[in-house]
Parts: sequence; structure tokens; C-alpha cells
Amino acid sequence: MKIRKKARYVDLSLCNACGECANVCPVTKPDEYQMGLSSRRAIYIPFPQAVPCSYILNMDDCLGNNPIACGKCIEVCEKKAINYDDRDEIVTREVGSIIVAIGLDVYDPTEMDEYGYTRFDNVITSMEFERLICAGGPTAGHFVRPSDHQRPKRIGFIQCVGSRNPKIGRPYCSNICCMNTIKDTLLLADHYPDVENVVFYQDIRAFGKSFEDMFQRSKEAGTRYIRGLPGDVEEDPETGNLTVTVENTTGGQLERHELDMLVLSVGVQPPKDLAKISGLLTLSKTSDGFFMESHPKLKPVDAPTRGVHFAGFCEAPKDIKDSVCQAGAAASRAGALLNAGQIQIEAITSRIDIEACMKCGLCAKVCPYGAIVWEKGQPAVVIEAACAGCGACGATCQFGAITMRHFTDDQLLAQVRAVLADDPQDKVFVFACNWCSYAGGDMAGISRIRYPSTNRVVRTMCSARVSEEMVLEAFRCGAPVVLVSGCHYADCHYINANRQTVKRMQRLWNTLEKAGVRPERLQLEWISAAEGQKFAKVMEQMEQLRKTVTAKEIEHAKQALKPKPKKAARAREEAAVPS
Amino acid sequence: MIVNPTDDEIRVGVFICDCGLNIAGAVDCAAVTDYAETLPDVVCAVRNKYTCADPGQNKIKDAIQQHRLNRVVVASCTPRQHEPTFRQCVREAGLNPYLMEMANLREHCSWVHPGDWDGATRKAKDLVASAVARARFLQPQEELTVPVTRAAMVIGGGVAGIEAAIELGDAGHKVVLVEKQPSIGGIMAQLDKTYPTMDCSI
Amino acid sequence: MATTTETFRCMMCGHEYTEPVEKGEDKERSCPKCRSNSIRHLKGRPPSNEPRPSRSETKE
Repeated sequence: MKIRKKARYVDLSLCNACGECANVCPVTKPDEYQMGLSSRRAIYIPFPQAVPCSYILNMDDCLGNNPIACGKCIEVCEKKAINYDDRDEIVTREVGSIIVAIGLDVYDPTEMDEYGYTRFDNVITSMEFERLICAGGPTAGHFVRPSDHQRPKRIGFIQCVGSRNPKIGRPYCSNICCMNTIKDTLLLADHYPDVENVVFYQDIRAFGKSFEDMFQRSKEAGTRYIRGLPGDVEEDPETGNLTVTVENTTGGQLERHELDMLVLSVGVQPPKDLAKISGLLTLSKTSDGFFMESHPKLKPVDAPTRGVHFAGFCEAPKDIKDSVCQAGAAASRAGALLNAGQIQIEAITSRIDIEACMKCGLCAKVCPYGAIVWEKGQPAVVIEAACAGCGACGATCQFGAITMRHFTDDQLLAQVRAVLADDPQDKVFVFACNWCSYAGGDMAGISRIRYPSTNRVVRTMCSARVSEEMVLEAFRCGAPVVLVSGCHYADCHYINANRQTVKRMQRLWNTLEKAGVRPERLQLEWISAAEGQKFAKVMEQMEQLRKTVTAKEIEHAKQALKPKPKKAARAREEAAVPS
Repeated sequence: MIVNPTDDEIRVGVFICDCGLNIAGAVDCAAVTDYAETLPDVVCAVRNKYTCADPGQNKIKDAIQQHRLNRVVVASCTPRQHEPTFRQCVREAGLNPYLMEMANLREHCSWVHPGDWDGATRKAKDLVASAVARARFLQPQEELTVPVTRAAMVIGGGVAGIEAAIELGDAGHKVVLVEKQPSIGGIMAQLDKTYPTMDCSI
Repeated sequence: MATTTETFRCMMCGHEYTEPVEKGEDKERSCPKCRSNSIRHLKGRPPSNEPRPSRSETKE
């Protein structure tokens, strides 16, 4: 793994965090740690307990690394720890296991304009609340409201802001916000006995150990819980006070509450870096955008990629205790692999028969891993340790020179013939990749989503393993409809092997059309491991399509797609086309 | 020791799992077992209540010995769940683990076609036929063993990442903790008090 | 970056549409009408070593 070690412009080993540099820095920037509620300098320490405990210079904020422009901090630093010429460094580390713990992003509620966040001073988020009540915060723990720096007495909390709201594409529960608000009400009641807290909620989910007890204490401390999410917030421009309109669904009446301050209990979302990490490590996501684990119950910290484990929020919303539990589990799983010191590679890799190889090099071109070495005029050679077993090469080779171990042509063609031996006209033939589409079928099963029983699935490791010959054989055996299914582009378990699937489908559609076979009888779908619903829906569609295929059409395809002797010649021609 | 029988004669054993009522509730397992016996090279077909449990696995092992099986088809659940279980099972009976094939009668059949007894049974038969056809072409395979670098990387220095890194470090492993911000701590470091115990976050 | 306008046909619902395609782009396609992924590329050719489709007609 290559890591970019970012330049700090301050030598960690020399800086003693005296803070003289920040005192003289003329630049003022919003302090990210304090949610922008106070300011920091261009040279700063992120927060007093930061690790490493050293200042850092943000070059984007600095007046310039030209000491003539400023250079005040260099002058004042006795330790000579500041170096404007510091550069990012690329560090390479070889590792046997990776734990992904990239956390979360907090929802920005600006788009939910009805709550007036950013329009009204005294509407804040729960993250801003944390800084305002914290002794280490911008107000040293004196809880005041932004508009007039007075202590608010009537404080409202709105729950599920950016959670359980399919209308804005956030259907999932963020898990932590109910308890966080309960905690906030207790903190306020503890600091200021005269405070009047009101919580607007749809459900209070206090399901964890000692959570219900906290909820009861919050109510005993005087917090009012009103079932209903406000539809509207208005501000009195004179006082900065807020009026919240809400339908109290317990009694069904419309209520108006005047408040000094409103806290939006914001939800959480997958971190924006998730896609990048996902691509690097060939991971997949569930429908809510968090990482998908190997098995939701039995392998909750394992990624589908061996040696990769999940810890914390990036797998699903969870609180600190659960994050710590999962981190321990992930460390234990990673440790087991490291202790073993070796790993068995599933024997599904590619083998090339040197005798049969026509030295065309097509296999090397389609290998996503560069695991096939080929030089002009030489037979191709597989590097077994680099081969992941997708089978793109096996499906590409026109000369039968490649054997995909445990997923051979013989094995797969035998399955095609066996499935379609009797009454093929009644069946929808499906090729599904192990990682996504087949798993999507499993998900449909686990979720008990019904679909027509006419489909017959054959599993390959990757959709790229499905050769033209296999599809044509299915039609020759009388399949009315053939579906090829694989991972979504971003989720391909073999980097980008499924692009070969797309190319093959284009060729197959052309072939079918030329042979006078309705090309629509061949379908392609990307179905992820999480998309049990989509799997079932697609099977329903395929069944509808099957019903449109006539016996005459099936018979015609059987005859028209019979192998022709010119196949070898065409293959040679294809191989000769330069890239 | 793994013994690979000579392939002069293919001898397939099929093991059909009821999975309690998970499969048997929607599929005629008796009919599927009878059907399996008619398939080419199948020398025995055995129906089980729970094939993955010890008695079920023992039946497979016994049958391998008794019928000199050199291919095994387990018609039960998804290979994504129990393939390792049954590979281990046939290995213990002296068969190369790659000579075992599964037919997915549960996730891909009984669980999604309840109430469609005939359709589900027809499908189950096809899935078994498909697995047997494939099994007849299975070959023993040897897995490549590669060394694992004894070091770990943790991406993200929030509470989960820090905890994982400490655990791995305590276990004596070398750990690289990668964090994009200037300090570790993550979002948790921005919190004041944390539930349910109301103690400080840092 | 060279961009060409290409024709695509959904093999599920029959919807036909054109879309600008950047040379070398690598993106998942789905039918703008029915969301199917069975998208057939009718004209031009992808940036690869595959043979040009022999015909360009788009009729049934």
C-alpha cells in the first residue's frame, strides 16, 4: 500500500507545542474542530489533546511560503521546527491485512429549508451543540445561543433530521441521534435546572443497555417529548426567538411552541471517501451506501475481499460501544490471518495449455490483474499468485487453450445442457456472478421475496467468465431467454472484468441478429449482492419476456445457431486485429 | 491424507437436505431424491433433515466409504454459506474438497417459491441435475499457499480505527494507522459527553 | 477529449436514444426509460479492438 504522508511544515520531533507561532500568525480561519464557531490561525494545533501533539501549518491558509510575505512564525519558533519547504512524502508499506475504519460524515441539514438552518442564527445542529456545551469549546462550556450570546431557556430538539426520510433519499435510521438528544437534555438539565427542553420525535429508539433508564431520567428531569416532526420554523427577527409548528400526533392537534433555540438532531451518512476506498479494495456497498459485509449475521466484520475487515460506522450506523466491539472483532479476525502467516488461494485460477495456445495475446489484454504475461510470438503464461480467477481470459480464448480450474468450459456447458434437457421452453436461463448477482439471488431468498420459479441459475465467479459459446449453447438447447448478470460497474469484484461482459454482449446481440434470432432474447442486468428486490424484479421481467417467445422462434434459433466451421477462421481474424 | 480415487469410473453421491422445513416445506424432497437416483453416474441419493449438522455430515462420510464415491453433490443451501463446511466434510472422508458441488435449493428455490410446490420441485430437480452434470467433470485441485505479510494497516483514526490498532498492537502485530486529518480522534473527539455513561469523549 | 454522439437501444423496452460518449469512458449504462441494463450500442464502436458492427440499421 502506498500512503501519501502529508506535509505538516512543522517538525514533529522538534515542536513542543508552546504555541508562540500561533500567537504571531496574522491569519484567521474558521476552526473546523469547533464547527466554525470560533477561529484558528494558519498555524495551529487541531485541539489541545491532539495526537500527535504538535502544531501544523495549513499551507492553503498561510500567506505564502515566501518568508518575505510573512514568516513571523519562523522567527518566533525557538526550536526551529517550522519548515516551509516540507513536502508530501509517499510511504510504501507492505501489509497482510487491512482494517477499514473510515467512519462517517455528518448530514448537512441546509437542504431541509423548512427548519431554517443557516437562515436563522439560533437553529444549530447537534454537532454544534456538542461544541457549545463543551468546557473545551468556544464558550468554555457556557451554553449560549449564537444570536445574542444569551443563555437560552427554552430549547427544542428535532429528531430524524436527515434520517428515516425516504423523500430526501435517506431511508435508514442513523442509530445514535435519539440517545444523543436524550444525553443532551440531561446535560442541560444538569447544568441549568431552570431549562425547558422539548423534543420533537417520530419514535424514540432507546434499545441499548441502560438506554431506557436514561430516557426515563430525561423525562423525570422535565424534558417534554412531543410525538411529531415540525412542519415549519419561523423566526422573530426582533428577539431571534423561534416558533415551531408541529402536529402532535398523540392527540392529533396542531401546536405552536415558542423557543429560544432549536437543535437539529442530524443524521449521519457514509463518508465521501467511501467510494475511493471501495474502488481500491474492491468492496461493495449496501443500498444505503455503507460498506457491505460478507454475511450480515455470520461474518459481520469481514469484507468480501479476503484480509479486509470493517470496524465502526463505515459498515453501518452504530454508537461508540458498538464501534469498539466491532473494532475488537475486526482486530481479532485480522490477527488470526496474520498469526497463520499464510493463506490458501482457492484453486480456481487460470491455466494455459502451451500446446494449444495460438500466441495471440488476447487473454493478456483482458486480464484485469496483469496476471498473464505474453510476448509476441510466445505462448501466454499465467502468474498464479496474481490470478484471482475471474475467467475473463478463459471466455476470451477462442482456441480452448485456457482452463479455468473448477469453472471449466466442460463443467459449465454440462450444466447448460443438463438444465435445458427437458422442457427448455419453460425456463429462463440465467448466468450469475458469484459475488453480486448470485448473492443478490441469495438476498432475495433470505428476504423471502417471491418470484416465478421458471429461472435456472448457473454460477460463475464473474460474468466475464460467460463465453459466447455458453450463451449460444443455451439457445441451441432451446432456451427461450438467456440472462447474463453481474456486478454493477463500481462493484466488480475483479476490478473491471465485467467490461468484457459488455463487449461480449454487444457481439452476441450482433450474432443473434445476423442469425435471425430476436436479440432481445438475450438480456443483461447488473444486480448487486444487496439487491434482492432487483433480482426478484428482473426474474419477473424475464418470465414476462419468456412468455413472448414462440416455439417456432426457439426452433429457429436451435438451427440457426448451429456451430459453423468458419468459427475458427473468424476467431483468428479477431485475434489479428491490433488494439 | 487426501486420496483421489481414480477417475475410471465416476461415482456420484447426492445428498438432499430438508433443512427442517426450510426446503422440505416448499419442495418435494422425496421426489427430488428419487429423481437424483436416475441421473447419470449417481450411485446413491440420500435425504437428510439437516445435512450440515454432524449426523448429516456423517452420512456423507459413510456414503463416501460405503459406495466408494468420488464425487459428492450436496443439495441444500447457497454455496456462499456452507461450501467451506462440506468441502471440509469430504476432505475428512479422504476426498479432494474440489470434488464436492452444491445445489442451492434454499435461497434460490424453496425460500422464494413457497406455495408453488410443483414449480419449486421441478426447479429443484433441475438444480440437482445441473450440479450432478457439473460434478461429473470436477477434478481434484490443489490450493496454492502464499505467505501473508505479518503487518496490518488500519485506515481511519477514529474510535474504531484506534481501538482496532491498539488491539492488533497488543496482540504483537505491527500496525500502520492511516489518518487523513492532522490528529487522530475522528468525530468522537468533537463530542462533549458520550452516552450512556456521560463521560468525556477524549 | 473526443466526444461522439452514439445511439443506444434498450433490449428490454425497445427505447432508443442518443448520448454523447467520451472516448475511453467507462460507465455503467441503464435505459433512461425502464432502467434495464440491456443496452445495445448501435453505431460507432467502443474504444477497443473489437470488430465494427457490420450493420448500422436500427429497425426491429
